[in-house]
Amino acid sequence: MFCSVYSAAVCGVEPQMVSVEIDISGGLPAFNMVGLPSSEVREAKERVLRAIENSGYEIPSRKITINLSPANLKKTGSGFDLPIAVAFLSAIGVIDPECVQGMMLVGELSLDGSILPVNGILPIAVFAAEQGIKKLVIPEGNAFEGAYVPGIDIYGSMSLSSLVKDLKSKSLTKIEKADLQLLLEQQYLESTLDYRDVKGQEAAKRATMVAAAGFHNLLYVGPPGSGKSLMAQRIPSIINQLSPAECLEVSKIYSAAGLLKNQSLITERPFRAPHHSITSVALIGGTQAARCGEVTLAHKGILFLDEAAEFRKDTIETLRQPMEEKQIVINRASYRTVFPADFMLVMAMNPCRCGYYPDRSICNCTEAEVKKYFGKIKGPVLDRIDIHVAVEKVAIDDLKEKTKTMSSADMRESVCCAHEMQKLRFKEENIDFNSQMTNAMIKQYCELEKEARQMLNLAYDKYHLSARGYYKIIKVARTIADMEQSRLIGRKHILEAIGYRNSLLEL
Amino acid sequence: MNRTEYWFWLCNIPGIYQETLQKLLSRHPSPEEIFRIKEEQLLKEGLVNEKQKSAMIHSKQKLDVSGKIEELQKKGVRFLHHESEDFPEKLKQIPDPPYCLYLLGHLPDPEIPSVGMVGARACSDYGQKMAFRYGGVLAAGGVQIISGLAAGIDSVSAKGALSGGGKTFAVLGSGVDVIYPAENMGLYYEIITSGGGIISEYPMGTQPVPWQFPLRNRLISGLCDRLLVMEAKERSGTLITVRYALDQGRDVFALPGRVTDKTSQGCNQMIADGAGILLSPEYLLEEIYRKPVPEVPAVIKQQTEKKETKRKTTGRRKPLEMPHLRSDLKKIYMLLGKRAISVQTLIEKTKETPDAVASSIAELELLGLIKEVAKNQYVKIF
Ligand SMILES: [Zn+2]
Repeated sequence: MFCSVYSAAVCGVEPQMVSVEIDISGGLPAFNMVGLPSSEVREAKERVLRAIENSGYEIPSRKITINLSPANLKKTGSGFDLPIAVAFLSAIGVIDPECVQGMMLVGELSLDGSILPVNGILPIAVFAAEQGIKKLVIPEGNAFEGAYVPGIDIYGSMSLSSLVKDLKSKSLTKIEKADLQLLLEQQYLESTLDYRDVKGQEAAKRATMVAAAGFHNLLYVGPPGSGKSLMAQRIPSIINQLSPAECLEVSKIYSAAGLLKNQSLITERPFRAPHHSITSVALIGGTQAARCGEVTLAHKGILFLDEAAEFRKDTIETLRQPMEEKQIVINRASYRTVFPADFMLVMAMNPCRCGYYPDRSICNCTEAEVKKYFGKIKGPVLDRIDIHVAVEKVAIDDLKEKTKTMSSADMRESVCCAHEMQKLRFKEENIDFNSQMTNAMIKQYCELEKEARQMLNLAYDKYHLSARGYYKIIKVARTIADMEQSRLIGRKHILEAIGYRNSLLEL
Repeated sequence: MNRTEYWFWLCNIPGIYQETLQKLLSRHPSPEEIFRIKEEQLLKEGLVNEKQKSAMIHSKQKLDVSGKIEELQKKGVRFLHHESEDFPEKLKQIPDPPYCLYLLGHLPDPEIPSVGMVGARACSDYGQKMAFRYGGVLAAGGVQIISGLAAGIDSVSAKGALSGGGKTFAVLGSGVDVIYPAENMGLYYEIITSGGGIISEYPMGTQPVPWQFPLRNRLISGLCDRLLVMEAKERSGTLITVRYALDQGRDVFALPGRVTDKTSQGCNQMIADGAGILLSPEYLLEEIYRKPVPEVPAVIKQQTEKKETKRKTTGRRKPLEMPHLRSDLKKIYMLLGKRAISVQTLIEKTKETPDAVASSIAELELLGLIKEVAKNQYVKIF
């Protein structure tokens, strides 16, 4: 007897169709699994057999062969338990093969036959809908992921026995669809981090706002405890909320990585702050199990490297490819995958080794030591940071004081205004933000007023700017002008941008 | 005799010095009165002793007051007494005021901040270097330096002040015509020609006597707003000056040194006792201009207000030159100094928007008026 159902394997974040075929034939009793299963999948055999038995079905003493095709695709994860069990049960006639025809199933079985949630349901559901699959069975525990995928009937199931019962009686209950837009709006109102709570940092807040407006990478310099993390954490609060499509895109990544928490999709822009002891692989992804790295988890959001000077230099330099390409291509012997990695990089560092330069009451570092300390992050990644700004140590009374300060909502207004301008400007181009402009685009889109041009040339001579440094100033000035909906880049815009340049190495 | 002549007479009687003068003048308020009173009477009142009585009689008969005053004028020395219009108001207010002054050159301008610098004659290399630096930086910042022209710290401070292009004043423990030590001859003339002055309360020709130095130091502290002690041993004459300064209500600062250095022990002790610590001349300069100079008494105020217009036309050097700037830039430029100030602080002080401050700062830096010393921290370029 032969039966087949569909399932899917997630490699990286992209699922691939797998068909689970089962054949039961005469011969010596055996249970074989073929088709490049990983060790996790191979273990499925025992789990599936025990689960079937414990659900009250008998295993015939015959030769059972399971094939996961295509055979050349490496299959990982425990999601194949359920399709194998269901294919098996229909092969032995417990379930009418008609009922499972063209059905996709994903889920892990526990030994008592209950169906356990697995990672990657969201990308699989989206993929299944795209592939024209009509019915998808997923673990009940993953039901919320199915709720937001349109164009496909998705069923959540608690256990193997209840699934068999529902299949037999044709009474599977669909997961009710939910409105993603509504969810996003609700969650947005609930976000708690607000710049209103960061007082006495107007200069740094302004620079942050400019960075967010043009998606410019940002470096904070400030003494320990000056609130660099507080500043960075709140960046998502001033950027437009995720669109439904972006939300799905990001949630797919988190689903595949098993990081969807609290039965909800990722509705806020990610903020990832890996510790400086992180390895290159954990940062950019590509372990044996095709796990994504922090850069991918920060997709559409912020990657924050605190204590940037403490990171291994080669680890930081691995960021170069994802920063340029907005994705990361992983080539391993067993697989090749592409992870999205479109993030805004925010770094923070102390001004010197002890952290207090130029406060000579505390800092004894010599000028040479200060330079050396900055040298630690010098390199191609630092070159891609457009905005450098100091974060102050705020006196206690400033924290208490009820001074008026910009809230996230105030800041978001300017940021969104700039985003609109950029959307219009780049509708013919394949970029979204000023920070991504090529030199040719800069020439095309950045018109400077005469006085602005003079100031820029003055700065070029005075600070011995590199060509890259020169263009960076224009890009940032373009963003500042966009925040005011100004077509021309004026003197003021250029001057402010000059102040954000990397002056650390000029000192 | 006129009033000046009576004062000159009283202040030029051999053997009658500060202590006796004070006694005499507290009982008989004017020199003329003292001149007219019988010496016998003064003796009886216990104001003078036998020797001083005969010196008084002698000077009344022999001293050619008007001739002496004329002689002074020929030498370019001015004689100021307690009732002269130009007599420094600051000195009238100290507990032990001098009754007359001899002056070569000018007196310190009471409107401009002045700093007294004192210290050991046998000073260390460190003390010398620092005294020179403080003298130079403060003078360049428009502060008047007052010292004693003694060897060591005093003369190095004055040299520093001259190198900074500022004005410096020396208060001597001898007559203004007695240069001591002799190797300071060059410095002595440079002080006068550069617009400063040599000041003394002792009659012409008075030789330096050790006990006069501490006493002279009360005039140094009396003429300044702040007294800097550059180096002092644990028990030294300098510490007497400090006591004067404190009695006069002046701020006292001491230069810290290594605890093992004998020449710094006095200073370190003073710091421990609450004196201001000298971290850098720039720092002090900033403090001087942030804090208003101690209130000028009303009398002087009126006088200086009258002089105000004249001063402007003569183009007297302002403490800090202000480049001609647009008002938005000026507002920020004025707030900057030698100590690094952050953009954030400037935003708070000017109450301007962050973007406006950021672009003004960038412009000032492009103009070469300020310098970024650490990310977003700026100092003025002097
Ligand atoms: Zn340091």
